[in-house]
Amino acid sequence: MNNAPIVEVEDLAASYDGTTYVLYGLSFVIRRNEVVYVLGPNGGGKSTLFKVLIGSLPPVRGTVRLFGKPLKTFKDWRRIGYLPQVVRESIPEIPASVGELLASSSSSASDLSPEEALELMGFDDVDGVMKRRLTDLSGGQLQRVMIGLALINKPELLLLDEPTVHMDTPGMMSLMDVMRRLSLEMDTTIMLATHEISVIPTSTTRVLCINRYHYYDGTIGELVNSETLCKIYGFHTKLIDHGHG
Amino acid sequence: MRAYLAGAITSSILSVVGAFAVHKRLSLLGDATSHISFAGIALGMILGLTDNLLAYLFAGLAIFGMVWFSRVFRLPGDVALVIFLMMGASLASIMITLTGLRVNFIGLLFGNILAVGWVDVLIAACLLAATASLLSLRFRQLFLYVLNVDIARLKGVNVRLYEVIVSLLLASSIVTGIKLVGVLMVTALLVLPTVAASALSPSFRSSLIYAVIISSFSTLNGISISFVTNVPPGSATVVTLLAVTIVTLAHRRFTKRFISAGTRPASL
Repeated sequence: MNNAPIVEVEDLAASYDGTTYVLYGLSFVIRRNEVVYVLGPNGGGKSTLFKVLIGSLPPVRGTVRLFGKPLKTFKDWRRIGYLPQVVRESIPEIPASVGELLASSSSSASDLSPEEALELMGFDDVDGVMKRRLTDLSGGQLQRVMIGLALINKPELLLLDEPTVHMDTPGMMSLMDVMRRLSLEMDTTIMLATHEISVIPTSTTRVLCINRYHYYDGTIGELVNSETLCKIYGFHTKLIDHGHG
Repeated sequence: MRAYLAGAITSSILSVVGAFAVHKRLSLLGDATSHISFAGIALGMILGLTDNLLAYLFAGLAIFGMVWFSRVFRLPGDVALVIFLMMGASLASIMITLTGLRVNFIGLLFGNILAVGWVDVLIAACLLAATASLLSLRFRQLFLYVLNVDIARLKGVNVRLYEVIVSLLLASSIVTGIKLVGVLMVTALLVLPTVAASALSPSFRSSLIYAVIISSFSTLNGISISFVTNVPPGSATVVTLLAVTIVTLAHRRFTKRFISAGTRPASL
């Protein structure tokens, strides 16, 4: 089924300490091949939502289904690619090379090779990058390598948490290009969390806007013309369509 | 001969498993475990046990306890270590004070590598063989586990299983190490070779090899110095390790500055 539901969330509540809700009453469905931006201010629960979806944080309430299966019984995690927020802090100061990192995840014939993953992420000197240590990369380079790691298994669902942080304009353009190709050529479903409205490409892009108890599900064009964004962000905005993506 | 063999084997095991402890921010695992095993020794003496069975049992349980504690209460690894370290030290102190026991502190701190038996060497050799086999067969999974547990799980790694495997390896290595080389040297051999090797290595795999070379060289050098000068072998080994670590850190700092000054490829 082309438009089969990939992520189904109903009445989700999540909490780290069991007493304070970081997410509450969240419901949405994301279907195959959709590209959805998860928008919201810092601390609004975007990363928490992703942690629930990758099985790292059990929901306090509600149901989550991935590829039609309940989260509790879902085991096929290789179908999901994930980029954690604040990449530099989410991996230890380990003396690993880029090639070693990517090779560790490219374990079946259907996966991308480490070189292909780096080329896809817009690296020119692939052989040179493969030999470099993760700790010697700049923030933007490390971000691109880690996105390459997330998509090396050709995941059906790609969760990118603040992927544009540390990225310059060419890096962002490269990311948008990769996302477009993944969606068109591999039917990949993509959820991209960001706190920056400016990275959302067109007014018809679907956004899931969350800030703990408030949420919105619709196009970014409708969102900025409604009072919902004011409630979620606490200020008035004006949409300028920059057309890429 | 036996001392050299025991030293080379013990230092090799500890330097390899130390990489997992250091990169998981559990550098003080040796210290915390030894304090808990200290409480085990005290309890064993109170119960009239002659061997150190309770010390090993306590050490093993402590490592699982610290990993569990850190995960369930979402505490940083070093905080869990300090909690267990304090628990072990205070329990041991209370038991020793109440019962008036006499404990060989020097033996506990520095071990006695010059008086190890062949059985100890054989146990350590078996542990080294198990560690080497695991690394060669499951390097990819262990590497991803060290890197990030969420990413590892999404790449198909059974994170809980590797948590148990790494905890078991650490517990058995530390307990074996405490008996052979003492608490002080166990902590040094767990941490310093990884720090020194990380400064030199271009990859995680090579860092494990460098760590084994650095720790074996330092231990054999320490034992040799001990034979010649009569200083404790543990102290001589730690001093050698410290010297190697400082040199490698200085080397890393210098070369890193050189790289950032202009050898980075233009396309990046």
